[in-house]
Amino acid sequence: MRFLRQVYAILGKELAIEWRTREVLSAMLVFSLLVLVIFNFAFELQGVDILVLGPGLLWVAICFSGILGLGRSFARERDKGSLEGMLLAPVDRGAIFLAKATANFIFIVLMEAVTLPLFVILFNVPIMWFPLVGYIILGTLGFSAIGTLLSAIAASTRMREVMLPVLMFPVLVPLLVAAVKITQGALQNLPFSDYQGWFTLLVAYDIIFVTAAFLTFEYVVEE
Amino acid sequence: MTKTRNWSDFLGIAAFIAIAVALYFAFVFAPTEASMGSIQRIFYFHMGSNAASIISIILAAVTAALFLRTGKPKYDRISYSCMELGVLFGAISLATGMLWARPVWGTWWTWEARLTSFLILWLVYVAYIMLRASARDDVTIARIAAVFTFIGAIDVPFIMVAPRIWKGLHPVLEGEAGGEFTFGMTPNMLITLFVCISAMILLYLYLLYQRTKLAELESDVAELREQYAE
Repeated sequence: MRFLRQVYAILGKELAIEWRTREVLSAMLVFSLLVLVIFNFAFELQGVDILVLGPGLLWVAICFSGILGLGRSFARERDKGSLEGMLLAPVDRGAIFLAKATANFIFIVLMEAVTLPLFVILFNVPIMWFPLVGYIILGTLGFSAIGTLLSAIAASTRMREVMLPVLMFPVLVPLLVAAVKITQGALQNLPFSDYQGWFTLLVAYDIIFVTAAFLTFEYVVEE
Repeated sequence: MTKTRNWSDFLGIAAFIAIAVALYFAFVFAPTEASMGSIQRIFYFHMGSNAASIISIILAAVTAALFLRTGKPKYDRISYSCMELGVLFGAISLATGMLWARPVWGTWWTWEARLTSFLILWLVYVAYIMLRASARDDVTIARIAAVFTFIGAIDVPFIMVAPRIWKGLHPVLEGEAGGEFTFGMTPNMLITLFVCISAMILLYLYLLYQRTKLAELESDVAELREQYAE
């Protein structure tokens, strides 16, 4: 109970900061829009089968702008030394992680809530909302868990925001491939059994990395 | 001190002899492969360095976990050395693989399951080195690097599985790569392969020992410098 109250309090603080500044969310939104626009020019997407290329494009947009938000998550704390304050408070390390990860998850989902319709509008994609939204959220879960941990790691190095993508992409590859594949399956209306392997992989990745990130987080922030 | 010194010298000599023997086996003892010719001989060293770099991530993860548990800098130094050697042996493996693939497959690189998995593993090693290089202070970096090693090691099964599902629909290259080499080998080729893998692993262990020793000396120097600065 105490643990949940702590998570709730830190999550409230995260959301309040974001609500007052709106800096992370707006940067993420603009960036994901830019990625979509740039891809359109880079790949001449008119007339191409968008159902084949689209999922990759969508996930690259989500990934890039997600990393932008994740980078701020701990860099912001380090700037003003507020992480030390939080660590000094009698709060469980796991609670800090869960709250941070949940906040990042919410921001990324909000960004996706705009990016996905934009993607549909800009590229004229016929879309089945029902399983697709679930799959994207499933991908975002692992993404924000591992992203939060690596953001904390990157924030304690000298290069911070530069380090985050370098650390994150190699670890993220399996999740990204799986997410792209099931998104593709959902967009093309394939039967579930066609991409069931990917679905299992994604769920396994989520479970294992959420747990691993939760358990190892305390070593990262320990002073 | 003298005892460990003897031990490491012995390991070094053993590695040297093993590599010499491996060279003999790969170039003289092993028969020339019928369809690929002599280029196939590079495969023995390719497999050897490949084995060493895969052992590397396991060793690194175990020592990283030990470091997080005990906090002894010794384990961190071993873990760091493992990851660095992972980059080295991974690069050798990738390079020899490409040299072999060019004449045999007609391409330097193909996004085949095994190649893709290995490249991603190698990128994890490289990311680790980047992380170490951007350290702010030694105590923090050792801990966060250990966590990253741990995460990277958990990622390995996924890295191995994902490209296989991905390429599940195209078993053609898979058969070309796996079929001919593991099952189409004569006994002499298999012996050579075994000798080469053992030799590369011995070399790996020797280098690991030396690199760990070097890391120890580095931290001693840093300590002394701090003492004199005061």
